Order: sequence, then C-alpha cells, then structure tokens
Amino acid sequence: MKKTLGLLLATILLACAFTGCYALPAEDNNVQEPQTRGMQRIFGKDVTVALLADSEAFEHGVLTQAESLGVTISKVSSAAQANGFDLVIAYKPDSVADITVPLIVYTEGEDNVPDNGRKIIYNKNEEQDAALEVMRTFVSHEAPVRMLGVFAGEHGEAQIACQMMEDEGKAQIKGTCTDLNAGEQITKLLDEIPVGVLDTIFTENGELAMEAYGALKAAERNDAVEVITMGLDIELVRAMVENHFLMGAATGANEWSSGALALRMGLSLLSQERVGDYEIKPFTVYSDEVIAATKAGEDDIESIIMKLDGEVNDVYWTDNIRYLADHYGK
Amino acid sequence: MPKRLLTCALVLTLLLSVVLPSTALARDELKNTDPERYYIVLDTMYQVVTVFEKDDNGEYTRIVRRMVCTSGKTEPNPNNPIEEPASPTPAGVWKIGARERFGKFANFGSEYARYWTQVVGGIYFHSIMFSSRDINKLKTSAFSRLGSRASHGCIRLYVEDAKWLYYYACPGTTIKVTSGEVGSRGLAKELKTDMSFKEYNEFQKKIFDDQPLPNNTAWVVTDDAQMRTGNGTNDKFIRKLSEGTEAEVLQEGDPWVKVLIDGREGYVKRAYVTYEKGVLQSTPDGKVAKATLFLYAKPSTKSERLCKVARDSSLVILEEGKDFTKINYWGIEGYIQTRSIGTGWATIY
Repeated sequence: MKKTLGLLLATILLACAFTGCYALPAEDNNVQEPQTRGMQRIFGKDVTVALLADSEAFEHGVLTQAESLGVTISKVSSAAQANGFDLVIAYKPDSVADITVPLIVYTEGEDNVPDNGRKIIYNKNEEQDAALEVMRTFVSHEAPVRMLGVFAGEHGEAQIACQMMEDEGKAQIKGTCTDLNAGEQITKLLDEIPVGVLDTIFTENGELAMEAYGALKAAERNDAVEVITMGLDIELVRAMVENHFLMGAATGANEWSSGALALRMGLSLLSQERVGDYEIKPFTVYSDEVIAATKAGEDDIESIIMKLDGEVNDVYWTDNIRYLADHYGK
Repeated sequence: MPKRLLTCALVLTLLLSVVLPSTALARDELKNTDPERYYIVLDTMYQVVTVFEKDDNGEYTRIVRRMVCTSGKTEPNPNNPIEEPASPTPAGVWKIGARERFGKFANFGSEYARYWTQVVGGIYFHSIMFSSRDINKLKTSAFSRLGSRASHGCIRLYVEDAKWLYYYACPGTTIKVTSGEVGSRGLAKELKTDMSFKEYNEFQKKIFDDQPLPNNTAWVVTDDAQMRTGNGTNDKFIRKLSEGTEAEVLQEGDPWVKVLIDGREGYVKRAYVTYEKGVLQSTPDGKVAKATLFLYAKPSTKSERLCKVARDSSLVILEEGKDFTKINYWGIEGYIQTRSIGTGWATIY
C-alpha cells in the first residue's frame, strides 16, 4: 500500500514538473520594486547634515565617511545655524542646548547633551595610563624601562605617575626635563647617556614628542631609543613614516575614526535605531603598523590612522548604513 | 618510492618546524620567540655585552642594549694556579639555550644568581651573585667587580640586564664571544651604575616578574642516567638514577637538563628524561656530537663557520656523507665533520 502511494505521489510530482503545473505565489502586478535608492530609500529624502567642528582630524573623519555613504555635509560655524538641518554633528561645542534636531556631540568632558542628542565621549584621564602602559610593554622594553621623561610642567600628573613606576620597579628614570627648552635639554641628556643604556623618551604631549624626535634625529645615535608619547596627531604619524625607529608610538583620541563614527551614529539615530552614547578609549598608533601600511601601498596618513582603528571602525555599521555604503561605495 | 620520500620529507619538515625550536627549551613566558630578532656580542676585552637588532637593511647595527659584565678569568691566580686556573669564557659563535629564573650553582656551594641564560654548556649569562635564593642576599663583591674578568667562565651582569636577556634572548639566538670587536676603552666604566651597593641592592629588590613560574616535571627513562654537578660528562658525578625517577625541572636545556631530585640540584642528560610520563622522547641509538664542533656553511673546513655545536647535542641529520654530514641546528642548515658524530642517547627531533 505504501509502495503504491509513493509511486502515485512521484507520478504526480513528475507530471507537475513537465507541465509547469507547480505551486507559485500569485503574481501581484501592483507590487513594484521601490524606485527610490540610496538616501531616498532609507530616509524618504536626501538628509542634510551640519558639521560644527574646529578639528581637522575630526572633520576629515566625518567627510571621509560621508563620501563613502553618499551624504553631503555642510559646515556651520555656530549652533544657531544648525537647526535647519536633519542632523548636527558637533565637536567639543560650547553649548548645544539650543539645538533641537538630532545631534551627535564629541566631548572630552561631562557636557550635557539634550534628549535629541548622543555623545561620543573621550576620557582624557585614561590617556596617561594607556601611554605609560605602551611604554612599559613596547617591543624590547623590560621592566625596569630605562626612560627619559619629558613633561609639560614640574610635578604634573604624568611625572608623578612615572615616579610611581620607578618606585614599583617598573621604570628607571635616567633623566627628566620640562617644557621650557625641552629640545635643548633632551640633547644635553642624550650627550651624557651612553648608547645602549636608554630604552625610550616618554613625552607628555605631541609637541614635546616632536622636540624629542628632533633631538634624537640630531643626535644620530645608533641605539634603539624611540619616543613614546601621550597625544595623537598627524605630525607624529608623519614622523613615524619618516623614521619609524625614532618615533615609536603615540596614544590619544583617534579623532579621525571618531568623526566617521559620529556620522554613522547620527544616521542610525535618524533611522529610528537605538543609539546610545559611545565611549572611545585611548588609541595607540605604533610605528611598525604605520610602516606596514605604507609598505602595503597606503600613502595617505589619515587613511592609515583610520584603518588601524578596527574597533571604532566596526561600531554602528547597521544594515542601513551598510546599504548606503554599498550603494555609494566606490 | 618518490611518494614515500616525499612523505618522509614532509614529516621531517613538520617535526623540524614544530618540535625543534621550542618544545625542549622555550618556556611560554618568553617575550621574544624569534631567534633572529637580536644578535648578541660579548666583548671579553672590554667587558661589555651589546645586543643588536636589525636596521631597515636587515643588518644588525642598532644597539638595543649595552651592559657592563664580568666574564671569565683569562689568567690563573698567580698565588694558587692549580686551584684557581684561568677560566675564560669560550670564544666563538653560539646559540642561546636554557634559562632559569633564580638558580643555584650546583658545583659552587652556596652561590646563586638570578636570570640565567645559557651560552653553552656550563657557561651562562646571569646576574651578579646572591648568597641564597633570596633577593635580599645580594653579594657585594660581584657588584664591585663588574667590568673586570673574574668569573669561572659565566658572564655576570646587573640584575636588570640579566633579566632582559632572560626574557628576550630566546633559545636559538646567536651570541658571539669575541675580543676587542665592539667595545672601547672606558666603556665598561661608563656603563656602570652611579648607585652605591646599598642603593643598588634596594633597586634590584624591586625587579619583578609578571607571573610565578611553576617548574615542569620530568621522568627518567633509563637506568643508564647519571646526575652530575654540571652540564658535562667531566663534571662531578652525584648519583645514578633509575628509570621512572621523578624530577623537578629547573632548566629545560638540551643536551643537559637541570633538575631537582630528592632536594639535590644537578644536571642530567636531556635524552635520559621525558617531559611526558610514559612517552619516550629520546632514543638510545641516536646521533650526537662527540665534541664541540664547528657548523660549516659548506662541506668544507674552509667554508664559513656558522656557529658552534655544543658537545653531546642531539643531531638532526639531513644528509649523511662520508666526510661531512648535513644537519639542522637551531633552524640553521650546515655541515659538520662526520667523524665527530657518535651514537648514543639522543633526543628525538
């Protein structure tokens, strides 16, 4: 009986296949593929975005991301000009209380942002610990790390932190100098310290790092001393490209990636997705990674910095944003 | 037949790449596992150790670290030449071997040192000495003698320098012991610390390791095994060991392992023990170096000498020849004289 039923079923299926008589959803001539594409398809119109920023790095991040997503950005110079736009992105603004449209704010402090806004927060207080940890764990640095400390002022937090590292057996301070004539002081110290007994020069900010870099370059030592610094800016990364042995690592806010993140967060907010505040961590650019990127054919330094920050780059790549990237991407 | 050869070659390659560089010697706490990252030169004339790394051209020109040291005595004690003969640090190009964090000199009574890194046989880099395995017991004499030739062949260093080598000079790293090549007059003095002994003693007490290091266990695999005071068959015999004896491993070296058995520290041949109970990691009829040999670049004694192969080393034979045999030693392929190859207990690589 089972055999007969099976045969019958098989015959029916075969007949259906040959005659084209198989189940199909009813064709609905009234349903059409959406004609709108890109921004239109997602938002129903082309969105307008205002950028209120005085950071070239942050602006570069926003604009680079905007280009890849097909978004046009208008730069504005005050919060008052921003309300006519669909979305506002603001970098460390004085006040955003009057902005009533959806808003993304990059901040390093406790700024209050209205309910229509979300924050990208960089806690600068974490930068010092992160940079010192980079110094301690940099390739071939063993505790105690033999260091020169270059600080922005006498007895500041960074100097105290280095002193604590020495007390804990993590560092051996071979000399210190402060902001005033730092370059000359470093040159003098480098003259006094024999080659091979110093691991690194730790600097409290990017400007001091460039002074230290210049002094090291002029000293023409053949030892493996490199600058490890707090702060991250394009000049530091350019120095890494110029001499990756002398400019070792820079730790700070990745404002390039933060700019890109701000736009993705803003578009996600506009498309009614759940978007919370996002805290970015101090980011370290290592010279060997930069050199690897340049060897791989990348020559735009800002692009290199952005590409290195995989963690922030992955945030808020929602389906909508991916669609836009696919649609406008080159 | 070619298929079988191919399979053998594949198996050998796998064994060489997986087993040779790490299993017997390296602990997972190493902070560098690339034996080509650094090149170390000990200048016995100027009492300076220099560590180089590669520049952009791949040449070892960049100085990572320079250290004042105390290497072996080059002259006997004129008052007691029999008891205190010259004991120079052996010259040549060697490959770094075993390590130990805080070791006892098995043949020198109550003498200890931190951060041992083996150059060859019983010759190590290590810190200046301690009178017991206790960081509070640093000895004054070794501290003040840094920069002069005074040791039994080992290379004494400041604790922090010995520690650096311990973590970064991984097994297989090249060390060249030479004279008058990279130092200069007055350099050792310049490299010495300004700290007094008292200050330095306090300083070195703060030098720490990130993690504790539990010792490995080994089991003796043959009743032929002997325990000695040093890592050489000329060193004093301590006791015979029987198959199955359990040992705490203090230094994972090859051809010798430093062990602790029944409260006594000493050395036993690596081939006589296994790190995996019940698994034989050696063979009684393997190939070993009968003496310390030069590894040549080509099958000729006139070709470049790549490094020295320590006596009793287990050999990985690549190609046997009448006069010269091709071997792999720490990842380097080269030739040794066939007549210097013996048969005996050897680690299987």
